Amino acid sequence: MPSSEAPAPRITPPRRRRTWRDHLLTGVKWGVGALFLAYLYTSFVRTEFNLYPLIEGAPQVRRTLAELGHPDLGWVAHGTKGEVLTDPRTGKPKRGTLPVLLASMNETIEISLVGTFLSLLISFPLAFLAARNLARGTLMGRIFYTLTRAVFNVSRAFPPYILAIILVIMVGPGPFPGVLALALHSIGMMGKLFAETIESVDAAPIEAVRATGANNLLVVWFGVLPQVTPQFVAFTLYRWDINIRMAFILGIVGAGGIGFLLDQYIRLFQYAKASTAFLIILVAVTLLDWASSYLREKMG
Amino acid sequence: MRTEAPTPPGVQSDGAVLRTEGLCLTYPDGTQALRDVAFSVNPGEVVAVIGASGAGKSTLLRCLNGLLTPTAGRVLFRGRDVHASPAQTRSVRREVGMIFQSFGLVPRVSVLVNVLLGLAGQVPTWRGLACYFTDAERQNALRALSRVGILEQWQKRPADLSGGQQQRVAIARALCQQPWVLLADEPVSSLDPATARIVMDYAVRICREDGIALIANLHTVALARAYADRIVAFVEGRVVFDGPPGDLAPAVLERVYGEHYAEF
Repeated sequence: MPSSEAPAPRITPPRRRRTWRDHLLTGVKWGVGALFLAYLYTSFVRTEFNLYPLIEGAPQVRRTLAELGHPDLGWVAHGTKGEVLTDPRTGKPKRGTLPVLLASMNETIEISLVGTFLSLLISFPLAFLAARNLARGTLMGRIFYTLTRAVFNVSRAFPPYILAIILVIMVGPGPFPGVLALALHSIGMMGKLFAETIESVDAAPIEAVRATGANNLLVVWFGVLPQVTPQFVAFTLYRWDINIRMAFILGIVGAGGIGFLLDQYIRLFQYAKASTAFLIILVAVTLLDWASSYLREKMG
Repeated sequence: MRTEAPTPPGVQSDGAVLRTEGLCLTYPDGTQALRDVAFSVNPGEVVAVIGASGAGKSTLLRCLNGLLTPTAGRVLFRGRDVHASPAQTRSVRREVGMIFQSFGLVPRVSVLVNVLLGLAGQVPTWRGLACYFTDAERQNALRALSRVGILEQWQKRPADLSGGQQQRVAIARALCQQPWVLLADEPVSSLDPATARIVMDYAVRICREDGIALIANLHTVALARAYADRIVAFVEGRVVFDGPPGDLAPAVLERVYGEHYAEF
């Protein structure tokens, strides 16, 4: 430490004078802040935020929770007196809640798998057209760039939930509208991520392959693809993960899978069956989380 | 290794394998990278290009194999105008190897495949896509690897090699093309001095053995003097010196690198 005989002089860094423009900006900032707070308050009022019904309805809540706490785990269907229900034609016992729900859980995963695969099939080639570093140069390149970017933007703009509602009306309820809704939305999401990954590649291998006299296809195949493969795989796995979660919800608007049954059980006050559905979804999502993060870690 | 004689027919009438005529290149931002560059390279000649950063060295090399298109003038490779058409450019590139400061190796594929990629312009597209190469082509690639002394690394990936080894893979890739000319854009600028010597030794020796003309942008005068038959010096896109290393006077170097050059 230097001796402190004379205190170091105070430093006052040069400061820009505030102009009327700065004052105006400050005013606008406070104004926007105040407006936001006012909107937040009216939002609370208009969404009827009130804790009282939760207290008032406690018995009802308790009854619902109790029913939800007793999932129906039967392998065969039971009648009201506990007897095993049989199919009048075959004489075999009818399937219970658990096998029915497991089958529809499987359907949900199938919906997400096909939806993700279809979107991969379309977004993968389009992404190369939508990458600025590859499109640069020729007029055709720029036209394709603009077109594919527009396709991706439109595709991302529709939430899959809204798409599913429209598609259920168009092709009827079932897993197929779910597949289409996921695929249409995922094309934009994956295409944009893929294109941005391609834009961030190292240009050196591209130039080196081009310098050997290779045509454009081979330049992309060797100059770009090996650089982006790990991210492409990771993005696709992540999108599949998201699409499984989305497929649960799409079932509620009639697009197949376990969400469809869950919605029905709740509407019919069959809380034991709904509880089984919740359980299966919980277990599936947990397993999925583990598998997905494990895989992505491996891809590293 | 090329089977033809060092000076076969197809070399230009004056004996040059590569010649530029009035080459000018102005970038869209207005930078004049090349101004009326005319020089020629004979088969098997080792030419060093020197100049300060931004003098147009890299631009020149990229013009020579059509990675850049000049705004005026032309490049003749064995009598063919390099920029005449995209097909012509590609056909010239097949016969011109190139190595880069950042090596330009393809990641996540083996060293051998990287060397075989030298043939990317020569094999049918489907064979390139499928990475299908004949036994003769593989043998050729392995021979190229052994000539740069890293045959035992053939299965590794580029990321597992040192910088010097990576540049040797790049040399093997260019060699695989059996080129007439090897363009080297700052081939050893990112390597330490000892490794730089080793890499330059390999590149120059192989070019001399095979009669390949080497045109190398070098970042130090010492390297240029040590390896080149001829030195071409650039200042602001213009050739200010073109001659044997012995004629390279201090006055020229001061003009190339600025007045403080002698202090280093």
